[in-house]
Amino acid sequence: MKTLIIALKEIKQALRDKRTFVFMLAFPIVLILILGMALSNAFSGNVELGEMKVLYKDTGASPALGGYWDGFVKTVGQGNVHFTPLGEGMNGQEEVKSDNYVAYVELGNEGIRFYGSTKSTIEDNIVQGMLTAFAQRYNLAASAMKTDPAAAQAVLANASAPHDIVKETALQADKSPGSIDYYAIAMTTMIALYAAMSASSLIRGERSRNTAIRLSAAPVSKSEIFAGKIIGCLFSNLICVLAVVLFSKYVFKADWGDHFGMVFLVLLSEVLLAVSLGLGLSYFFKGETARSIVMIFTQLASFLGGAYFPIGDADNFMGAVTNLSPLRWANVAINKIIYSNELGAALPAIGLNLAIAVAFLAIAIISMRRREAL
Amino acid sequence: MDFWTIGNKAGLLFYIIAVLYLGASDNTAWLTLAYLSYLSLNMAIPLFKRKHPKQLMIFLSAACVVYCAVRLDPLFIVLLPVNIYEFVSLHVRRRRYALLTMAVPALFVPQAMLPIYVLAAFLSYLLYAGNRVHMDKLKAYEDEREAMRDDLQRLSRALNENNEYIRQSEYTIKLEERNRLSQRIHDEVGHAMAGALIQMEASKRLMASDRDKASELLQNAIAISKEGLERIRLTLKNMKPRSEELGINRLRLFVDELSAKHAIDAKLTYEGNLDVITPIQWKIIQQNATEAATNTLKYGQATEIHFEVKVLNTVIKALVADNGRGAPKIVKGIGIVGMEERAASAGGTVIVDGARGFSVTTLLPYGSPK
Amino acid sequence: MSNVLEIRNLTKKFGDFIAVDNMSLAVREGEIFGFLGANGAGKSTTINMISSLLRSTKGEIDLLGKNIAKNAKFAKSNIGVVPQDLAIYEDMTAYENVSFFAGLYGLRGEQLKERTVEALEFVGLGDKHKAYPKNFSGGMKRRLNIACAIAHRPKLIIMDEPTVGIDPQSRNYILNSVRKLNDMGCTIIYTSHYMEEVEEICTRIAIVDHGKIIAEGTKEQLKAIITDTKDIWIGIKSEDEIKVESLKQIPGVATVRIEDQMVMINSKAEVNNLNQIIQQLIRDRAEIRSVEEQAPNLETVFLTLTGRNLRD
Repeated sequence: MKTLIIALKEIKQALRDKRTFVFMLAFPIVLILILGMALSNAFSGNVELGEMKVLYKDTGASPALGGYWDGFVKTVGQGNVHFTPLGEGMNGQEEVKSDNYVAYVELGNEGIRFYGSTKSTIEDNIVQGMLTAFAQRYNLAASAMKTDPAAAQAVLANASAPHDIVKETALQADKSPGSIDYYAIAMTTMIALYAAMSASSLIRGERSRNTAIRLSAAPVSKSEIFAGKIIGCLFSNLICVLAVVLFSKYVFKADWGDHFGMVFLVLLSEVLLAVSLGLGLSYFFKGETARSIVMIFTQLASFLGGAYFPIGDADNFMGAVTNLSPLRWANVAINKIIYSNELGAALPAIGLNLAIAVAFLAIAIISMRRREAL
Repeated sequence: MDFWTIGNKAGLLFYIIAVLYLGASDNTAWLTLAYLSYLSLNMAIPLFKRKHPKQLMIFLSAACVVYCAVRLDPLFIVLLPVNIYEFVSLHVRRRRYALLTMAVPALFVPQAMLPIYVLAAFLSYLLYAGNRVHMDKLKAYEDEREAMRDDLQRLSRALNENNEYIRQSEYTIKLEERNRLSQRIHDEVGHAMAGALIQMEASKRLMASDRDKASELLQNAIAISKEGLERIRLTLKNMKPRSEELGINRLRLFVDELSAKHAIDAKLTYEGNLDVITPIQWKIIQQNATEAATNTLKYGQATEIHFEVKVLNTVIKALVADNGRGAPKIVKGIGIVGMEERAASAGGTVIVDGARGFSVTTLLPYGSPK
Repeated sequence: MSNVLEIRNLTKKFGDFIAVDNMSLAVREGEIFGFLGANGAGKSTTINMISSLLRSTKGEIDLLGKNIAKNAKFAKSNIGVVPQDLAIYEDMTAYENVSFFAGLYGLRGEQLKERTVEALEFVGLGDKHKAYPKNFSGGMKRRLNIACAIAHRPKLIIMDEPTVGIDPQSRNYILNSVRKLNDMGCTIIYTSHYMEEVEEICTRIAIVDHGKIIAEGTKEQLKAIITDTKDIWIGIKSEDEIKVESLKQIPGVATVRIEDQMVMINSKAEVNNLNQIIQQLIRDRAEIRSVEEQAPNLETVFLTLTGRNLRD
C-alpha cells in the first residue's frame, strides 16, 4: 500500500513536470515529423516506379548468348523496362552516371557485365534481379541444350514471363517501412531509453530535496520506497511511450502492425531496462556524474541504435558495436514483428532487456543496502 | 602476490600447451617460440621493482599474447586477462575497473573461444581480487601490529622513566624538606634556646649571692623559652601545607618549569575560591594539565600555552589552551581517553577542541558552597 | 513522569571522527527538551540516530521503553521529524505534501483527510491547500515543513533548527506552535544554536559540545553553574536620599554599594526582586536614570564552559 502511495506520487510529479512533456512527448513527435519528412528519400517504399531505361551493348563474342538476349529484350520490352542498344560514340557508364539510364549491360565473352546506378536504388535492384534470373535461365538452358534441346526450349519459353518478376519485387518493397514508420519506431524506442535519465535522479532527487530524510524517518522500509519509485517511474515513462505510439499511429498514420501486444511487451521491457540502468548507475557514480554518464550513454545508444538515421546490417566492427545498443535490439525486434510477422523475434530482445535490468537492479539494491540512509 | 600471479599464468600456459599439443598443430617451432617469449617476458615482470619497466613488460607480454592469438592460435587469448589485470591494478585500486577492462577483449574474441576466455578471465579475476583483499588485510594487520608494538615500546619506556623520576624526586623532596626543617629549627629555636640556657646558667650562679638578679634572669629565660615554644608551634603550623597551596603551587611549579625548560611561554591564571577544590580534584586537574601540555609540546607547534583554573558556582573549570596549529579533526588517542576517564571518575567531562589552537577543558562538578 | 526517550552511552563515529561521544540522557514526557550547541557539535547526528536515519556505532536508544533498533517501525511511527533543511516537494501542493507523508505513516481515507486538514490548519496554512510551495515565502515553507511532520500525531516531535533563516513573525509563529504542540501532549526535542529561543521555550536543556553533553538541566540550573548571583546597576541623580539598610531588607539582596551616582546591588539570581528594589528607591525619592540587570544567560554559560561562542 505504501509502495503504491509512493508510486502514485512519482507519477504525479513526473506528469506535472514540463520537462517530461518537452523531452518525452514533444521532442520525439517533432523529430518523427522532421526526420520522417526530410529523409523520406532514403526509404523508397512508396516511390512510383516509372519507366526504366536500360542501355546494353552486345560485343558479339558469344552469339548464343546474343540470341537469347534479343528474345529476352523483346519480351521484357513489352513491360515498363526498356532496353536500348548502345549507340555510336556513347559511353555506357557515363550515361548511367548522368542518370539518363538506370543501368548499363555489356554482353561479353565471360557473360553479362552489369553497371548499376546508385541514385535509383529500387530500379537498380529490379533490373539486377531480372538479369540474375535471365543469367540463371541462360546457364540452365545452355547446359540443357547439350543433352535435351526440347527441355531447353521450355526453359527459354519461361523467360517470357518477366512481368511476374517485376511484380514480385515491387510487392516486397511495399512491405518495408517508410520513413515515418521507421522514425515512429526509432523515436519510441529512443524515448523509452530516456527513462534512464529520470530514473537516475529518482533517489538523488529525494536526497537533494532533503525529502530523503523524511522518507527514511517514516515507517516505510527501504524496499517499499525502492519498489514504489521503480513502479512509478516505469509507469510514468510507459505512459509517455504509449502516447507517442498512439500519436504516431493515428496522426502520422505510422504502421505499428497487427501484433500490438507483442510490441508493447518489447517496449515495456525496454523501459524497465532503462529505469534500472538509470537507477543502478546513479548508485554506481556519485552526484552529477551519474546524470552525465546516463546522458552520454542514451545519446550514444540512440545514435548507434539508428534513432537518427537507419543503420544497415553490417558484419564488421561497426556492426558489432551497434549491436551493443539496446535500441538496436528493440528496433530490430519491433520491425520484425511488424513487417515479417516474426513474433519470436521479440523474445531475445525482451530476454536481454530483462536480464540487464535485473543486473542493474541488483547493483542498485546492494548499494542501497550498504548505505545508512537512502 | 608474485608467486600467485606466476602460478596463474603458468597454469594457463600449460593448458594452452596441452591443448595445442593434443591438437597436433603443425607449426610447433613457432608455438615453442611463442611459449618461450611469453615465459621470458612474464618472468621479467616481477624482476622489476619500479613501475615503468613493469608496465612496459606487461604491455609487451599483452602485445605478444594478442599477436600469437591472431597469428598462431586464438587460444592464446586466454592469457590476456592476467596481463590486463596486472596492468590495470598498477594504476587504479578499484577492482571493478579491472573486471570491466578484462571484459573488453571479449567483444573481439571469436565465438568459439568466448566461453573459455570468459572462464579464464573470471577465474583470474577471482584469484587476483581474492589475493588483493587478503594482502590488503594482511598489510593492515601488519601496520596495526607495528603501530601497537611502537606504542608498547614507547609506553613502557615512558613508564620506566616516570617511575625512575618519581623515585628520585620523592627522595630529593624528602631530603630538601628535611634540610629545610632542620635549618628552620636551628635558626628559629636554636638561638632562643641557647639564649635561655645562658641566662639560666647565670641565674644558677647568682642564686646564692643575688637572689633578685637571679630571679630576673630566670624570668628572662622563661620568657625566651616561652617565645621559642611559640615559634616552634608557629613554624610547624606554617610548614604544614594547606591543600589549596599544595594544588595551585604544584601547578604553578609545573607551569614555571614548562617555561624554563621549553621554548614556550606558559601562563597560569586562577579565579574563584580555590578552597573548594578537593585534593582528588587537584590531582585530576594536575594530571590532565600535564597530559595536555605534553601533547602541545609534541604536536602543537605552539609558542604560548595558557593554564586556567576557575571555580564557578557549581563547576570547576580547568583549561589548558595553546596557540598552535590545533587539529581540524580530533582523533582520540590514549591521552585524551585517559583524561576523560580521570574526569569521569569525579563525575566530570573533558572537552577537546582543535579549532583555534588546541584546548583541553576539564569540567568537574562540586557541591555548592551554600 | 515517565521517560519518552532514553539514550545510553550513544556513540557515533564517522571514520576516525567521533561525532557523538558516549552520550547519555533522558527526555521525560511533556518536556520541551532543548539541545543547545554550536554548529557541528553533534546535535544533528544525535537526532538522526534517534529518528533512525543513522545507525549508532555504540549505545542504545529507547523510545517509550522500547529499543528503537529492534522496534524500528514502532519507533518511526511515534516520531515526527522536522529536518533542519526544508524537506518538501515543491511540485506538489501543500495538501498533497502533507497527505503524502501522512500516508506513509499509515493514515488512510477519511482519517487521512481530517488529519491533513488539521495539520495545515495548525500551522496556519488552512487557506493554502491547493497552493504550490514554490510560491511560498521562506516562513510558509518552514511551516509546511512542520505540518508534514505532525499529521500522524507523533508522541515525540524532533525539530532540528526549525527557525533558521526566517523572518521574526514566522519565527514567533513557529515558537508558538511548538508551545501549542507541547500543550497538546507532545514531547518535543528542539535543537538550535539560537540561545534566546532555547531559553524561551525549553523546559530542560542540554548543552552539547564536541559530541558530549557538558551540562544539563533547567535554564536556572544551567545558569547556576556559573554563578548564583546577579548584578543590578541603577543610575540615580543624587545619592543623598538612598537608605542602604532598607534596600538590604529586600529578599535576595546580598550587598549594596553606592558610588558615582550608581547603586550597585548584588542579589541572588533566582529571586525576581527588581520591581521591589525600584519601588524602594522611588519611595526614597530617588530619581532613576537607568536600570541594568546583569544576570548570566545561556550564552555566557556556554562561553564560560567551552571558551567559545555559540555561533562560531
